[in-house]
Amino acid sequence: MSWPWNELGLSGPAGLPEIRKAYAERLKAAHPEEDPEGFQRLHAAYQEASRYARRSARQTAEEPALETEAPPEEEAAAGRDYGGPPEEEAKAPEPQDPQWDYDELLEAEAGPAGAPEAPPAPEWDFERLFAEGEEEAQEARRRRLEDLRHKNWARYAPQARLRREGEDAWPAVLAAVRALELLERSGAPPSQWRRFLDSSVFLSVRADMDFVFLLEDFLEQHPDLSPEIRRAVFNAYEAQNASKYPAYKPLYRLLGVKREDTRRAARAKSGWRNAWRSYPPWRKAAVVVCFTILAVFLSIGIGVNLQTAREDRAARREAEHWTETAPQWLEEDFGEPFVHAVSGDIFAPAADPDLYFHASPRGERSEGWPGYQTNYPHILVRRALEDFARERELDLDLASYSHEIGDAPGAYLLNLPLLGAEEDVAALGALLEDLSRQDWYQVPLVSPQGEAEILAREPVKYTVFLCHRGLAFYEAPSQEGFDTEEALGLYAQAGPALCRYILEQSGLADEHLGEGTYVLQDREPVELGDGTFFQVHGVDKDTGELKVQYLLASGGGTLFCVPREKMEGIRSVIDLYRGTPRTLELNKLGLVMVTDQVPGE
Amino acid sequence: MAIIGIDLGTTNSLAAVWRNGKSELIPNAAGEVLTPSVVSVDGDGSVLVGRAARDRLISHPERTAARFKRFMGTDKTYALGGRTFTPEDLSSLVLRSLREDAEAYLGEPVDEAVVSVPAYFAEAQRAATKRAASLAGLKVERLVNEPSAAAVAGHIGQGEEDKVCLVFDLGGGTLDVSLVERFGNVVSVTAVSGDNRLGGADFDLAAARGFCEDCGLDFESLAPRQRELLIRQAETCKMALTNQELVIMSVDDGTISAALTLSNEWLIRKCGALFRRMAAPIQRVFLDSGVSPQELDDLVMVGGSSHMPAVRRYIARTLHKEPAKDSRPDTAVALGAGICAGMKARAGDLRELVLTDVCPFTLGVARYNESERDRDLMSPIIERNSVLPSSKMGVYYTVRDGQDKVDILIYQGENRYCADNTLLGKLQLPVPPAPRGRQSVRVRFTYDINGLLEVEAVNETGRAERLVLQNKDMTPQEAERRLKELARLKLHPREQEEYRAMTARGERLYAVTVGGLREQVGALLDWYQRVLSTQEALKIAKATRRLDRFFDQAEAYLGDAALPPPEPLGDEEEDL
Repeated sequence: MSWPWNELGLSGPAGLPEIRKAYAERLKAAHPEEDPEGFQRLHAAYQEASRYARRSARQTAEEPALETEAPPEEEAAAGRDYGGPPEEEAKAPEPQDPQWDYDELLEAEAGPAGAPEAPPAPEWDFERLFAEGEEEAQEARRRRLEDLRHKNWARYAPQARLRREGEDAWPAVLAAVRALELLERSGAPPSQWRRFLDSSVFLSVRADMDFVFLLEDFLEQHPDLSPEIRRAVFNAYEAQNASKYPAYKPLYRLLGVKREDTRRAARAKSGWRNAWRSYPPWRKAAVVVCFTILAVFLSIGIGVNLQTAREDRAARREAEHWTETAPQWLEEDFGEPFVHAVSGDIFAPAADPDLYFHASPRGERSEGWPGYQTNYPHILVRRALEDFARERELDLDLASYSHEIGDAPGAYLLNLPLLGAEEDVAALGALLEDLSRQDWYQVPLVSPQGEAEILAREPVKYTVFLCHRGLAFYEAPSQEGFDTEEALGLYAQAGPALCRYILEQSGLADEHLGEGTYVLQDREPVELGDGTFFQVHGVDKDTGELKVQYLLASGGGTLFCVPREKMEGIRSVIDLYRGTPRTLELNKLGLVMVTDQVPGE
Repeated sequence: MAIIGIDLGTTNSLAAVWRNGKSELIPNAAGEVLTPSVVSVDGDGSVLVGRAARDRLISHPERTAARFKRFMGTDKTYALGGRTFTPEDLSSLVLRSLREDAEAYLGEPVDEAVVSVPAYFAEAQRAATKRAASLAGLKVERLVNEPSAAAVAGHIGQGEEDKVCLVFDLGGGTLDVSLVERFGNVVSVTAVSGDNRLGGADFDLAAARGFCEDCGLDFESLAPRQRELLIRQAETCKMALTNQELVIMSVDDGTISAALTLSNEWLIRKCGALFRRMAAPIQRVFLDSGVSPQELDDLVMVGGSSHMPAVRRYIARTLHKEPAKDSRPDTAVALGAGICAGMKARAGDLRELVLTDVCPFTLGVARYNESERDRDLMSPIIERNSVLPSSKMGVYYTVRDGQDKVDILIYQGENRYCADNTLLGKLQLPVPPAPRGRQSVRVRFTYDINGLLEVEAVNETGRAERLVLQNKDMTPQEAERRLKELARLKLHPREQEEYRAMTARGERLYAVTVGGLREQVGALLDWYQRVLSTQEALKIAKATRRLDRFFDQAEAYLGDAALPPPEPLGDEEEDL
């Protein structure tokens, strides 16, 4: 049946005695010390079952649905910090069950309906006694406080005049003292004390000497107040200014907060010259040493700066020379005017001032060598490819930058889907051939490795990679320049080849068919729903019988394994999801076109 | 090698052992089973413990200390005869004396014990008790709560009936109230509460004060010796009132002289506030446990101060139940501790008995407070009155952009602000920098029956930090061993097969769908994760069923658009 009763071994809701018996029985096998996990589960079931039994015993005929909210004691365990508004009290909120009237329970003479025993007649009338006792205590307290007040009268001498007007402050003082006693008796936490010290109850009598004396008395009576509370009171009396309020001295003493604080505060007020004078000798020495070390560091820093400034000046002079000659040379080689942009070695064509590229002097200008190294051609190639990719909404990656000469990628990677990319492939080929015929392609370039070398006018070479999860595993480099036919042919082979590769690598086919008993055969792609799937059949090696059909979504993503018996039922993608015993989740699947370099080298 | 049970009380201490199928009290050198918890330093520097020391409370109050259990876990020091003692030192002296008595009685060495502590003792106090025991040469792995011990003693003593009892333990310094369900071979503590500053000593003080009031003396202005004398007198009279209607309290030490006739009614008048304070823990215990007062079968009153007829009357009237007749208030806890010692020693006839207890205080971590930045709020992870052993987890999120570490402060207490609770320890875990709220940290608390709290925090990359909160005496090797035992406890429904499969199915469906349906699936998956994190099996099972139905409908709809779209689960938010 359902939880919690199945955990206890019961067939359904039961009364408390049965639940207890079942729990006691099960506990023998799930001892808290030997099987803590099992015990936790069992106990949770026992608690829930007991609660349910109690609730249904309390309610009337209608069957309480299990959908009612679980008692809040259980919910409280989950963490729930989402950075939202602060929650209410972290204690358990009111239970859903009917609230027992505690006042009635505690005060009433007669028992509630269903009380198992009639209570014997109480021998003492507690209420009356409490009331009498309270009265007596109040009376004694009042008397005592008055006594104290009279006793302390002598200490008032200078303030005696002021006392006249404060005659009706006495009730307020009494109220504040009462609050102190209540706080102490209830064991209130420091935050409540602080709230009291911020309240008007306290602030209105704070300076009243009556209250101060009674506070001293209170502190004497309760020597084990926690240090946080003492500090709070200490702060409330601005004890840092001990010198200003001599009348509070006994109070500070009773609070027992260290006098060192007052001394430190006094120092802060009376200026640093006094502070210096009051420092012990070792501290003075420490300060002097610190200053010396600082001075030494400063001077080193300044020296270093001067040196580098000198070097900078030399470099700048050279650079200025370069910035004049470079545009000339560039114009000669590339056939359009250039300007010096930004700083250092960065230039840009006059026609397109945002197209930054590097050019720095290197070697002598001669017949075969331009006299500088630059990455401008790379920029142009990249620009062309980026435009191409944008037009056709393809994914272009620039891999393995070399930072020596700026943005000179090692390879241009285009992610193409497995099927349906024929047009794009052809267009790409045309573009690359076109680029290789440009004049500027002739200019000796710096290869992506940062080496100066001359790229002869050659047809662009490429390599086709099959990638799975970012790893290239199947490559077919081109021999001659770009050949659209060849590239397309590779694509057509790639789909099933990829499928086979994955099956072999993951061992799925071995699992389904048994090692060595099968052969994988490529098949034509198949349309299913509105997606195309590459197809590979797993057939028995000896009989040639079809055992399992593997389908790989052409957009990448998922490889489905359809066993023989399910093959008829597959009509849609959902059927595939439902009907197949095991699938592989793949991502980043696609074909890659590369020029120049192999990725990862 | 015997294991003994010890009741280390505020006023008196006792020792017991499980032998011959029952729990026996161990007499001390004077042949009594009650040893007063008083320590005194003699003129020649030697230390007296027990009855002899107690008498010196009057004659040499500056060299004698009593009622130090109240200060366990604090920094209070006692200066006795030129030496300083901490409350732990004093307790260890009492324990050592009990140990020697046990060794003499049993005729074999004793080096392990189960010690009882008030259920409401906090971590610092429990740790101090364990340290005191190890100072006395006793290995203490387990502390048992006093009311639980009393309940066990009752269960064994009364022949294992099915009962719901309220154990009301009013000792010399503390009040513990426990609601215990016992049936068959199980003693299950359901809820505990109490008051750490309410005990017999408070009654004595109130009586002494009352005496001064009525006789026109000022208690505060008396010398300490005189005050102590008055308190002792009040205590004697209070105890006399158990059996007499009236008693005369008189004081005459040369400087002051007074006499007054006391009755129980007088006592009730003077101690009214104390009586009122006894009601609150009782209320809380019923509220927390979910049991109604009508279900109460037994009222068990233990602890020295439960002898007072006024207290018995008051509680009986409050609960409409007479106290159980054979409660044995002075010795029940010690006998129970003896039984627990027997259980720890795996005695054959106790093997079936199972005693489960609860965590008396809420344990949690500090949570950032948006509206009051410098006052952290308490976020509970193990709520009070959770059964032990307990392992619960909370999930927390970063609060600042680019936050690269999270400070986990572990607190114990019931108050809303962490500053009012007790800090137990801290832990720091680095997290990968991210926008605020995007990185989560899972904090798991595992609290076992020996009172060992292990905290483990894991961030999203799998990096974990661990902290074991323990008393300072344990060696690293021992702590390692305990950790291994704890590692078995971690229970997590998320790792169970069915829920994992459901989640995977949902994720697949998400991939296949678009638009509004996809959003629905995504939202449902979030909701499901949240339900899983509550770790309430009932809720999770229900959620799993509903999700299953929804997914079936969704897949049918995807296969054949003629079918109606799946119904959204409208009330999943409310379920949380």
